[in-house]
Amino acid sequence: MDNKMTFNQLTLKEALDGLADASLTIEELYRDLNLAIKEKNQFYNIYLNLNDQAEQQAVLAQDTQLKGLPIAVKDNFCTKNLPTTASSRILENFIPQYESTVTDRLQKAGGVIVGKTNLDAWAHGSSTETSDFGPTLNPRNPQHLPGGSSGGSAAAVAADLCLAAIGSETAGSIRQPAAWCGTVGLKPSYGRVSRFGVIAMASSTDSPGVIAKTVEDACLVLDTFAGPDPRDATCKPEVAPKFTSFLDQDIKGLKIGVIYHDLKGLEETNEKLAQELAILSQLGARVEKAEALDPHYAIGVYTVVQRAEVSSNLARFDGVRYGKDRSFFGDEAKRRIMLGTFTLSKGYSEQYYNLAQKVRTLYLNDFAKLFKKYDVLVSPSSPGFAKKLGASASSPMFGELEDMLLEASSVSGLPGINVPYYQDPDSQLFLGANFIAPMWREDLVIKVADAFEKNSKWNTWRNR
Amino acid sequence: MSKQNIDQKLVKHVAELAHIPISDAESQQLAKDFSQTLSVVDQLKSADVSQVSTTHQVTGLKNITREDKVVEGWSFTQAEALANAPHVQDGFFLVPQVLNAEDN
Repeated sequence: MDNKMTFNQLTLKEALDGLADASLTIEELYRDLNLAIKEKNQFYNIYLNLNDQAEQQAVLAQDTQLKGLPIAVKDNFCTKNLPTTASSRILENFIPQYESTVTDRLQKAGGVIVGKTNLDAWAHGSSTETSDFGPTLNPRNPQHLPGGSSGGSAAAVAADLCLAAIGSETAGSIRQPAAWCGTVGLKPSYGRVSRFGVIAMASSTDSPGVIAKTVEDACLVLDTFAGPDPRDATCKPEVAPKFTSFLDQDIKGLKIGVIYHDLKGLEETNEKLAQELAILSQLGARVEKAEALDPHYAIGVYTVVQRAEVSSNLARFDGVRYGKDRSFFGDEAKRRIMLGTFTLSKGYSEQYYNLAQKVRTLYLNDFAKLFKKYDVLVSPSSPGFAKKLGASASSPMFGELEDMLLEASSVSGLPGINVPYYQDPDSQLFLGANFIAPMWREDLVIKVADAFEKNSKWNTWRNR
Repeated sequence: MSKQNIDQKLVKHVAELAHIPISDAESQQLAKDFSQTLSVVDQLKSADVSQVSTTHQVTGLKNITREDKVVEGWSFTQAEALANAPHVQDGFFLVPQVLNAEDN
């Protein structure tokens, strides 16, 4: 460790080890963290609200699994007595009266919520620029966007304003900001983690997950809250595996298919990825090109399904029981609610909604076929580096186009993980790889991602 | 299938269905946005879906229920239920009037 390093820059694992062998105290860690938050939070616009009890809670949590370490939480998870806005004006003054399952279990395991992070309002977007409370800046390069919708959580990790963060993904909202901010982003299978207490967006694909500095850290956090929940009927009833048990495994003989390798416009990202994937071949995995169904269709599937589910889920915001009335919806929310209402309306639902759900079946069938031949599939997480501030105004479809490489796996419910694989020496921005596996096979993505990360030089924290 | 023509009249009708108040200028912009989005969605029409049915959920789970009993801590007290309501009277939510005298 170099002398200029501060304790908030540790990985979660390093901090746990430090607290265990008493080379670090929780007070020292929070002292550095609080200084960093004071210095950076306003500029990058990462936390919408901070938990002023965080350090006291941490001191009391020293005998727990996560030992009071500071975790950032996306502001669409209901946290009892801590404001929860979903970055919307409508919920500006909303104080939940109950705790989401994820944050409840996280805190019981000794994770301390350091604050609630910015997102695209209602998680509608891939830039964090459509937040009703202003954009978050990318800590790698503040001229650029952090991605989204979990942009605040990814930025909190990249800026060392937490040791790990909770995000949620509907189609790319964990993995894409993780890629743009140069962090790890783990989206479990749909149904692996409870959605109870998460402000609903698209109920058939919403998946809570983790943004962290390393694959190992992501597993340490996911271990605290994955698994069945009687309050979410879509949760898999079987107990979740211990995700940390899939670290440091041999990947010899695993078959890895590289998908989307010949897409137009991705020549540079794909070429750099192909170079880095040599790491996996050297570890004994068999890496070869695979042919997947054109991801362009997934844009249409996701757009239709997401808007339809949004129009239904956001109907509850009527200004009667909580929040302000519907005139306070921002432009993006209005667009999505109305388009969803339209595609579900009589005369149009066959043409749009049912057609989209049929094409969704084509993706499920295509993945089933691919996974007969391959254990894991990989592609870039995003077509390129983080876009500049202002880019999201370029098209009402900005997010869908940026998330194109992740949408097919999202609408199919598959587990996926982003791992950084290249950093541009000039812009400091990252490219990330997305590893996916069959439903419920987080073990495979973790094994491969962990081996890939530990043998590459693209993890900022591990290789500082 | 023909291309969907989205005009301001249709947008205003949808806004009414969705209870979203919008201005004239907004309805004009939204009509443009809708057309742009739907032209991308129209790519779906070139996919061959003749052999498949719809997928609405991916977990394969069916008929998930829990025992019908009250669990302590899972329900709101009246005070908690009303805590975030903007307008409350005598322990009730106050709602906008929907019936007029001539409806009687």
